[in-house]
Amino acid sequence: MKTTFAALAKGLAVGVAFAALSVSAFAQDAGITVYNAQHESLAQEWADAFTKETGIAVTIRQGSDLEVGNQLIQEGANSPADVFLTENSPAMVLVDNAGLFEPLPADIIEQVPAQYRPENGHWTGIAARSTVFAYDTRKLTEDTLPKTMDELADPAWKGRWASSPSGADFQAIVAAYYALKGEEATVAWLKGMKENTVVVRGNRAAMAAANNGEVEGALIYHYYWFGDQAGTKESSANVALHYFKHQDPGAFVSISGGGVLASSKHKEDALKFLKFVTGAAGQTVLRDGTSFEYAVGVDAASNAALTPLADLDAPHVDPTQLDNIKASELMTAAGLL
Amino acid sequence: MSLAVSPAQTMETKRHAPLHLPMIIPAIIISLLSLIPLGFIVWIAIASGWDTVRDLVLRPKVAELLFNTLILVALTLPIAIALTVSLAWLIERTNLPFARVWSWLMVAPLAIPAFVHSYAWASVMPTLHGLSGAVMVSILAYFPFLYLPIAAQLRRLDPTLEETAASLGHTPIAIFVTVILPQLRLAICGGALLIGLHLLAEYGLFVLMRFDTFATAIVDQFQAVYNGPAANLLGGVLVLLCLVLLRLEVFARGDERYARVGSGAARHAPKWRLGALTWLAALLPAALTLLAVGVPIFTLARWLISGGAGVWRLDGIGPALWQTACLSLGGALITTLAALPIAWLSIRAPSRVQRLLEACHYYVGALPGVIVALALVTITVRVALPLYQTMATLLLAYLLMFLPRALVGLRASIAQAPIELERAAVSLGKPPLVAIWKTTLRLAAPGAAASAALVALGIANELTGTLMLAPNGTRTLAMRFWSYTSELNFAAAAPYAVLMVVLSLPLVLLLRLESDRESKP
Amino acid sequence: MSFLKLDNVTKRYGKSAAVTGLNLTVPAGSRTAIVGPSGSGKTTLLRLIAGFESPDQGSIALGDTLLAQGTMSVPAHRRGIGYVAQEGALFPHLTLAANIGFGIARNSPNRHARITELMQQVGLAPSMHDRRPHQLSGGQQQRVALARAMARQPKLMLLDEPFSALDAGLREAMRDMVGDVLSTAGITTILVTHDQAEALSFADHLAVLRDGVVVQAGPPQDLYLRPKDAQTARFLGDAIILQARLEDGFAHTILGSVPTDTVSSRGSATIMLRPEQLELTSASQTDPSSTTSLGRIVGRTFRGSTWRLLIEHLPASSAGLRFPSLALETSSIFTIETPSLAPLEIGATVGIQIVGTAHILA
Repeated sequence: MKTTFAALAKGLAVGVAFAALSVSAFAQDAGITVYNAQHESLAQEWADAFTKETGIAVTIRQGSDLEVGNQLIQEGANSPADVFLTENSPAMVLVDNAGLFEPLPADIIEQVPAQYRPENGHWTGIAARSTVFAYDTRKLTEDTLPKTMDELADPAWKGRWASSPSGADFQAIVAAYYALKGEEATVAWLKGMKENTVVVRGNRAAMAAANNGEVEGALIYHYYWFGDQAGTKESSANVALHYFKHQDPGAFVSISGGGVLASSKHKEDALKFLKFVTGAAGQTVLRDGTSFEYAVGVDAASNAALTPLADLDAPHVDPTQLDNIKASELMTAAGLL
Repeated sequence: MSLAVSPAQTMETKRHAPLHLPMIIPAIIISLLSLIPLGFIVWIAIASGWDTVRDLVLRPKVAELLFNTLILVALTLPIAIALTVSLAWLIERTNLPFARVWSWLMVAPLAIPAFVHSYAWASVMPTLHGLSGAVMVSILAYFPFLYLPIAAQLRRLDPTLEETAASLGHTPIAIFVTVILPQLRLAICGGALLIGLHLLAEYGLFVLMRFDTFATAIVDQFQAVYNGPAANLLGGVLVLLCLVLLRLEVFARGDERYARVGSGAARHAPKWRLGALTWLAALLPAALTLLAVGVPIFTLARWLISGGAGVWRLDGIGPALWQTACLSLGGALITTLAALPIAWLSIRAPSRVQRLLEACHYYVGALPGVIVALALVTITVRVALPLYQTMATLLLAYLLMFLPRALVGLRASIAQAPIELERAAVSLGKPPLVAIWKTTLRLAAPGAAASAALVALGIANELTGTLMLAPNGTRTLAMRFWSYTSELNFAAAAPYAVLMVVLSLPLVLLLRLESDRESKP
Repeated sequence: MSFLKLDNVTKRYGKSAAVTGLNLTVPAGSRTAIVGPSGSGKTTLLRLIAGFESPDQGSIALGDTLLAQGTMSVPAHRRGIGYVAQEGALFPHLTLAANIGFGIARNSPNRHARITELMQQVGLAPSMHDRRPHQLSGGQQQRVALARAMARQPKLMLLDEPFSALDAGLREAMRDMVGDVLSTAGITTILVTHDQAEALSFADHLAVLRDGVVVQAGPPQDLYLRPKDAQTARFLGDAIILQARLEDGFAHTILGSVPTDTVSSRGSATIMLRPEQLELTSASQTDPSSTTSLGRIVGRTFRGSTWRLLIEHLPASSAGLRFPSLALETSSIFTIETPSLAPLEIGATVGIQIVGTAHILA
């Protein structure tokens, strides 16, 4: 008996040792944990630059806006997260409404102009992106492009444009539409969208669909196009961007947010990180890096290739008014989710 | 996935009674653990209340998903079966040139994760998507699951049966239909079930093919609201689908025994001469190799070249490779050890209790990883917070997901070790557990290694469960690959895909060798 | 009247030849047994006749029909030759009745009646109709296999060692049953076996196969008593092979002189005696001047109705040994069976008397 148990135990011990080894291989002690819903590569660029400057290690847990937002709410006070970064504002609002954010000190808040952050100062904008209509230049011209986002719900556009309704990006666009036009108009627009749009997963896939001629255009954010143009042009060689402007809901500029969790056990380092991201060094990453998102810091310059933020004539939407729960409810009801 | 229990073994139950206890206790514990996901679904359904269930389940989107999932299974399985049976027959039973080479190439697609297949096709043919794309890539990625058992069974068939049928006036075609096909039924059912379950569970493949199934919708919901009721209830529907599939397989398999009557001749069946059709016939495996191996390799090579040295960022690749290797080997070891008591009981001491224990794994193992992950996320976050986002939980998830894989191989190899050896060892003065360890388990070692390989392969390529459960800082090859792919950054994703393939290759070789060994007549 | 005729048939597997230039004729209505040690090519021969293989050379004809010649070969399913495999080869996925009815067209109106009739012929109870092969005993499986092969009323039936997997007692009963059923049905039968006793008792025509050729063929009694060579002699039963000097129709051996079955030859030769030709007499009754030689019992085995005795031949110091140069071919010990009624003790000296004639081997 003994030998068998010994042998079994040996086997088990090896397994556990392996597991322990794996844990130690993964665990990055000390430093801060960032729950990141921003693009992983952008967050990594920030983290690397931050670690280089301060010596503080950064562990990134990747997810999507509302997944991570809801996760933070479920974890509550026990969350291992120190910082939360998103692509869009709604998830920040969600977490803020749950009272989980540490109010930010003035030196961080002041780094970002008021229009790119909530009034209550619980979180701040870290970057921005604009809604665009990416279109196939072989099929559409100036005069055949949609003038407003509403047009895309017309029967004339049936099957001609792609979108990624399951993504947080698009849900933010819907939330902005709802904030600007109210429930009735949103329900009607989503009904038209359900009829018209070719559903894909991911903004880049939507752009690729326009590029390969499957559809004529795609309702996405601007930086996918710039990123692809800077790279292989695999998904954008035949595509150009159309900005709706005129304060149309389709010209919505979405704010990426960053906040520090009240439950953080490394609050000081976490605040340092957020200050770094919104400060000159962090915003320079936006200008010089591969993200092609707009910089939002005071006096920070965006990448020169981008149409200046000021020229976009975006509608004014208070980020705290973006009700994502409502948006996803309406989209679920419309059969888009 | 299933093996007939020899009724002759029931006699042994009483004889070994005192020996069971050390085996039965761990078996019961592991079975209880494996009931967690199922219990979770039931609990969610009850806790949500009928109104929520009705609102979230009885809606057009769910009907759409149901239709998609069903049509996917209904199209993929028959095509895959027809294709694989013809292939296996050509390779095993005709004088097809390079049959050995083909027979290895037909298993090779297993080394390429399904979502890498999909990635390859999405970048080679961006217009391929939707149902047709999903069906095609599913077949290319999963047909080896059918090919392996069918080819093995073909090798095992007693050629005398076919000769007898010929002497009774049946033409070769009639013989194929009335004698060969019925004997392949078990192999076909087993392989088809495995593919069917993969179709229900797969996420990455269908996302890239832009085809919505329950699994993709659940992950979407998870990403929109974390573990909200909508994701969990969709999970409930998916569980029902899995159960339906399992019942269908039992029904299709029938309760008949197809074992060869008598020992039969240790003789290989004569090979059919293809004659003028030789090169036409060789087109089939050649085309399949091109599509299922050539396209992924071509795509990876293309992206590696266009990405240049820049994509080989060692700070990302090194840790991912190490973590993936640790997770898959550690997980495989733990899972195989956990499967041992149940496997041993099912062969040496079948009983009602044992069958119940086994059913737990059987059904739960069929559940998609996304369900297991959902259950564990919810339970750890609400009830067992210290275990939340820990390696222990992730390994438990792997254990639950892949236990049946380990079980199948282990059972088969334990069954091949004669009980007489255990008795001989006992009669030579060894205590029972020592006797088992020194005889049966030693002899079962190659089979156990193959089982562990199968589990490791599963873990190395697992995506959804790992995404949802992994501890902070964990970035496996699959996770990195997926993160880049979903940004359509194919070039940066390529090194990770290559490494997954390289890591999987030896495991697939091992599997193939084991299948060869077991089908020796 | 020859029915099946194989002419100069050769079949090779790779470089090794299984059958070389084989000739065989099987009389119509006969029960032919093809017997040979394993590896002699008998299974290949059967497979060539059945059409599972085609010969590299030579021709096979059944009645007026040419089954194979050169590269032409009628496929098995068009030959109409019945075949019963070693362990029955029942289709495991079909019931007993479906197995028997396998060769009968599905839409044949009297299919059911025919199955019932066949089951009755081979002695299967009607209640077993829906049994599965794995629920049948070995003997029952062989009955099903036979009924199945008879369903198409073949003119020729091939039996490939069908009794080898059965118990000794069952084997004989099955053999008789199969023989009777096939004779009654008037089907020419070829049985392939490595068991000479089975071959001798089953066949009215016997062909001994060795190294891919038919060594000798003819009625079983002829082959048993007059085998062509020592190897054949031993294969068909216990044989005592002796050196002998032939003279005036007698063979003179160390065991004494025996008349030979042919009188023509003279000089030295090898002869064969079957053990049953040796009679043992009590040594005390032996007349020293007679042709009787002496032996001592060195071992014995009780076999029920007989004793199997191991006898050492005693070199005769006395008279009677006229040819001292002659010896037992291999050793001076041979075995004989005697009725168990008269037990003989180990160590006893016995006289050995030869009856019948000696067969001169080639």
